[in-house]
This record gives sequence, C-alpha cells and structure tokens, in this order.
Amino acid sequence: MTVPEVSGTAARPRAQTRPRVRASAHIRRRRRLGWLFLLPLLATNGLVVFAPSLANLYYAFTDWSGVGEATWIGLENFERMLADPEFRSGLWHNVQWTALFLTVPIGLGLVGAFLLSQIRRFQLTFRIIYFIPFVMASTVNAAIWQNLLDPDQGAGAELDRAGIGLLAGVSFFGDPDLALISVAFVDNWHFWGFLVLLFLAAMQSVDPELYDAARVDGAGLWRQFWHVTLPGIRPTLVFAMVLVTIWSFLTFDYVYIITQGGPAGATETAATVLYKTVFEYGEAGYAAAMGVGLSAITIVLLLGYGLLRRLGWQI
Amino acid sequence: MSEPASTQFSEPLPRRAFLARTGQTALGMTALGALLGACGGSSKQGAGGKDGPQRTVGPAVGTVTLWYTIVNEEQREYYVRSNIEEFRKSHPRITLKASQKPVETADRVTQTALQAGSAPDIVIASGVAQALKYVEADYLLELDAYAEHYNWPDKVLRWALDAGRVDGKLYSVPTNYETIVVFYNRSLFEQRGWHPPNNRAELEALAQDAQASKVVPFMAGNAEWRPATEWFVSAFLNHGAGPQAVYEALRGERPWTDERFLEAVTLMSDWFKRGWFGGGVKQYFTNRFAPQYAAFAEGRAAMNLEGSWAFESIPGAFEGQAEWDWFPVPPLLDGAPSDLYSLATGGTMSINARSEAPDAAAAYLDFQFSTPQRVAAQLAEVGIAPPPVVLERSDFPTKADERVLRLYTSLGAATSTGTFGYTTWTFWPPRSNAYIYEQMEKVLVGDLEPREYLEGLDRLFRSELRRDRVPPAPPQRS
Repeated sequence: MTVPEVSGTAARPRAQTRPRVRASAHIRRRRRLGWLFLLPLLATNGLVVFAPSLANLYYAFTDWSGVGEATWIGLENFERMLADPEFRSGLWHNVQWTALFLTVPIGLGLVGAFLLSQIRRFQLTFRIIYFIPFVMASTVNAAIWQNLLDPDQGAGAELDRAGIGLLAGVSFFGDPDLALISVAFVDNWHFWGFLVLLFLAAMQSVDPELYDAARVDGAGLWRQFWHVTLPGIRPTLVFAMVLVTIWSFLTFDYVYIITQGGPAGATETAATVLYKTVFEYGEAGYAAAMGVGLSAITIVLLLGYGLLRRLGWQI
Repeated sequence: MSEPASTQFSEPLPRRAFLARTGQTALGMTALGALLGACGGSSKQGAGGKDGPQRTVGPAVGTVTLWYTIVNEEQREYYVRSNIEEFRKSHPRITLKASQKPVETADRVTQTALQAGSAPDIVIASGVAQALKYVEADYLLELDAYAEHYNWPDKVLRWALDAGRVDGKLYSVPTNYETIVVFYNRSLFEQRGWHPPNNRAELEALAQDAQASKVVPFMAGNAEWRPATEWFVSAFLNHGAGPQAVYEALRGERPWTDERFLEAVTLMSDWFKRGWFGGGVKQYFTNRFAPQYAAFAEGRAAMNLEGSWAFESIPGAFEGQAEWDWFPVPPLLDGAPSDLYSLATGGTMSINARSEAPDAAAAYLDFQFSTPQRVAAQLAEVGIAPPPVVLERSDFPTKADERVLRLYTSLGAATSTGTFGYTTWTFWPPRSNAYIYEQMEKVLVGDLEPREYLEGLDRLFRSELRRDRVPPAPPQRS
C-alpha cells in the first residue's frame, strides 16, 4: 500500500495545528487562571481606589459638605483653589519640601551607599542601622524628635545646662522660620536610609571592571563615583527622584503629627490643607478639587518621565 | 418584640432613591453603589426629618442602637455601668445595643453610616455644627414632640434646647456641657499672698507680679492640640467684648470688625507677646500638656485658662504637691459682665430619621435628663461632664469634690439667668472656627494685625452665614 504523498502533506499541517491549538488553549487557560488570581486584587482596587477616585472626580465639580445632596457647580472649586492663599501657601511649602528632599536625602543616600559599597566588613550592620528609622512608625520617630528638639527639655536645654548655649531657647517646631525645615529634617532622618539601600543595590549591579579600568586610569574615589557610579545607577537615581518629588507633593504624616500645619501656617502643605478642608471645614467638594489638583501634578510628573524615556533618555 | 411605633411616620421611597436603586440593581452594581454611597452618596434618607409630618409619641419599646465615644477607661467602665446598664434595668421593654467608637473618627463613621442608611438610632455628633449638616441632609428626626411629652423644658437648661433648634425646630440635645474658667495653684497663691482677681486690673497686676518672680502667669501650649488657641480667643471675645456683642455678631447683626472685638483681640495678642501664656509665643507653640501641668503643679506657672474638662487632669497632676482651685474668668474690658461663663457642648445626640424605634430612642434621651443624681455622681466620681440638666448641691454625693460641685452649680445658676458666653468651637461655623485659631497664630507671631484678622473673620463668617452654616446660638435673656 502506497501512502499517497498528499496524505503526508495533509498529515503535516494536522500534526502542526494540533499542538498549536492545544498550546493556544493552554495559554488561554493560563491567562484565565492568571486573571482569576488577579481578580480579588482588581476587585478590591476597583472598590477602594477606582470607584472612590471616580466619585472624587465627580465631587470636585460640586458644592458638597460631605453629607446630603451635592450641587453641581462646574469649575468653581478649581477657580477658587487657584486663588486660595492657604492652598497656594501649602503648595509653595511642598515646592520647598521637594527641593529639600531632592538634595539632602538624595545626596546623603548616594554618599552613604557609595561609602558602604567600599567596605565588606560590617556592611550588613550599617545597612540595618541606616534602615531602622525607615521601619519605625512615623508617630514614634516624630515623638523622639519632638522630645530631642524640645526647647525646655531637649538636647538644646541639656547642652545649655552643661554650659554650651548654642541651641539654648531655640524653638525648632515653634519658630515659624525654622518649623518647616525642622519637620523636613525629621522626615529626612527617617527616609534617607531607604535611599541608601536603594542606591546600594543599584551600585552593586555596576560592572566591577569599570572601577578597575578607572583605577588603572588613575581615578580616585571621587572620579570613580562621578564617572562610573553615577552613570551606572542613573535610571535608579532618576526613578528615586521622581518618587521623591511625587511623595513630597503628598507629604502629610510628619507635618500633621508634629505641628499640625502650625505655627502660623508655617508648615501647612497641600495635603494638610486638603485634610482640614474636608474634616474640619466640612467642604468635601472643594477638598475633592484639591485632590484632583494634586493628582494632576503627579500625573504630569509621570508623563514627563515616561516621555523622556520614550525619547531615548536612559533614565 | 419591636412595635412598629414609627410606621405611621414612614414615607414611600422617594422617586429619586427608587430610580437609583432599581437602576443599580439592573446594572448589578449594588455593591459599587453602596460604596459610592459610603464615599458620600447624595441620596437622602428622607424618612420624616426636616420636612416630615408632626410626630405623635408612641410607646417606648423596641431595639435602640447607640454609639458612644468615651476614651478614658475608668470613665468608660463607669459610663457602661451607670448609664447603659441602668437604662436597661429601668426600661426592660427596650433593648439598648451600645458600642464604643474612637472619638477621633466618630463623626466620619457616623456620617458614612448615615449616608449608607446604617447609622444607629441615636445619632451622635461632635457639636451643633456637625449636627446642623445632618439636619440639612434630612437625617435627623424633629424632637419637639418628645421635648413636650417628656417635659424637657423643665429638665434641661433652656440654652441647651435653644442650641439644638434649626428654624425653630429641635433636632439635637447636648450630651454634656463645659465652660472655661481660670484654674490656679492655690498653694502658690497663698505663699505669695495673691488673691483670685475680680477684674482686668487685678489680673494684670497679678500676672506682672508672677512674671517678675519668674513664674509664668498662665500655663499654656498648643503643640498637641492646635485648636487650644481658641480657648483663649473664646475667653477674650466673651469676657472682653461681652456676650451680647458676640451674640449679635453670631446673628450677623454686628460685624466682627467692631471696635470691641478689636480691643479684645489686641489685648489677647499683647498678653501673649508679653510672655504671659506658656512663657512666650514660640514656647507656646511647642508646649505640651503633661509638662505644662507639671509646671503648674510645681508652682512654675500660676494659672491655667482652660475648660472644665481639666478636672480630669488637674487633680492627678497636683496630687501630693500642692492645692488647686478655680475662679471665673474676670471681665477683661469695661462693660463685660462678671460671673460670666462661656458655654461649650462636648457633643450632641439626636434621633436617626430612619430609626425603627424612635420613641424608644427618645426614652433613652430622656433618661439622660431625668436622673440628675446619677449624672452628678458620674461627674463627681470619674469626671464625666454632665448633660445640660439643672444640678443642685443636693444632687451630688457627699464625697464630691467641692470645687467640681461649685463649678457646676455656679454654672447652672449663672446660665439659667440667661447670661452666658459662646465658645467658638460650639457656636461658630466650621471654617470660621478653624480660622479663629489658625489665623490667630499669625496675629501672635506678628504676621497679621488684629484688625486684618477680624476683617478676614468677618468676610469668612458672612459667607458661611449666607450659606446657613452658622449653628443656632441661644439668645441672651438678661
């Protein structure tokens, strides 16, 4: 019996098609399973993030006290927000806060990570020590620094009693000229250890041969850092800066715990103004507009970051 | 068990709510709708609230749910024993289900529950301003029929009932009431030969003498509670400009820029800048309560201008160290009355418009006002501020602290004559209230002049007045 040629050719596609059918069915099943696993998370996010966000967007265009009927007022809340001195002052403090956080903790994080990357012994110990403030509750961190910087019972007063009057009577959280930078300092102290670990992890992925080559070329530590380390961790650095900027515009906890926006509004940020607007002033519609405004800032930052990456920037 | 006492008042489902619910069901979005409702849905409960028919009182039976917010453990245990369990014993036909809520979030939780239609029968609010929001949204039941049925005008201090009225109808009653007085270190006063002052001149002389002898005249600080500044603003407005001027301003009949208010705010600012409160303006912003009470008890501070809630803290701080006492805030400007007490309510209670047992809920409210010995005992024994009932000396247990007893009997007697002050956190609308203490900080540090401060307050207050956000203020009657 001769096997017709055609049967061979006919058999080939069948043989090829079957696994493909099986494979695509398998992929579909796997995808379905994947979605099934994702479903609880998506449903939860839909309920606790997406739906309230939509509701927030709607209420941003209404006059609403937080209870009862909301009255549609179009863009009135946004017009008011742009002219609101309290919100603008809060936003200006956010800008100052961002400038502080883009320099001090980023700088400290880079230096700390670079120095740590140069040692082998006790590196883990230092990593833990640096990281401890980050895992401590913000209320605990804040309480520690409130006590340390208390003008009557803190370090300044103790030094004064020991004859060193440098910080005597300095009211870090009570002086409107010092309060914002003092609160930012506390938040910095809690945050910079996280950046050390982030940058250290990035630095450990930089090719060691690049350092060897730099050393052969006579580069010292600073030139190695500037010409090898920084370019090597640039994506991580830029990403950290974007995150720091976003978080700086949303900052709330340390300000609220330590000064509640005072004294005399010196530490008020956009988020504390928003919180007070809804929970103290009972103007939930207006607060929703502030929330939309803050989200818009974040979205613009992320879009800018994404755009630069698409344009080929290695960040 | 529950008799449908409220069925005669129930209304058909409003058209808007009906459409919303059927629409949601059709779309299978009930869960999302409930969430949106919890996030602030706009559906009205509309079950016999603001525009409901005239209520007639039925038998007090059924199940009543209640949320309460007492933080202090000793007070909470006492409250459960003397209030909740006593009510259950005396009202066997009513099932009272009570649960505690954190005081910081009670308003938010209640607000969400009201919107979601799952609020308790007794609706608590942090003050009349918050209760006013619920009235506007039709969440609360009118209480006039109950007030008449239970004869509340004879049991409850008149100002308290007036404070709960909106457009002449009663919607809320205060859970407790407090006032601002000057506590002083009696041992220190005796040691220095000082006497409680009766007027501004005497108070100023005392403060100068104290400061000269390195004693801070008033312990004060707002590091832990930024609104603490409004205690002082309330005192200076009422005891400086006078309660009648404040009442007229609250009614919109007198501007906040009036010279009397300007004089009062300027005086407060001057005293702060002299370092009489907390040792200085910058220190004031960082002073915390516990060290301040310690300084007060140790004689490093002479006086404390604070609310009667300080009865909870002062005895403990002074124990074994010194004796303390109090005197009413003296008149701070010419023309202000002496023996004046500014009124503050710690919270309000109302009945949910959707309650299935409103008559039983009203019986619980009445229980608060019908047992003066019980409330006097809870004040004397654990310091729970009493509801606004007339308290006689004979209502207090024999072991009651004379100073506590004197304050509440004096307060009741003074306010029943119809002369009382208005605290900013009770009678000001929300935004103006926050302005009072937040912007006053700017006056204290010199960023804002008192006149500019009052101009800003006047603008804000008038905008809230136009929007009906000003809580009802009981009138002066003297």
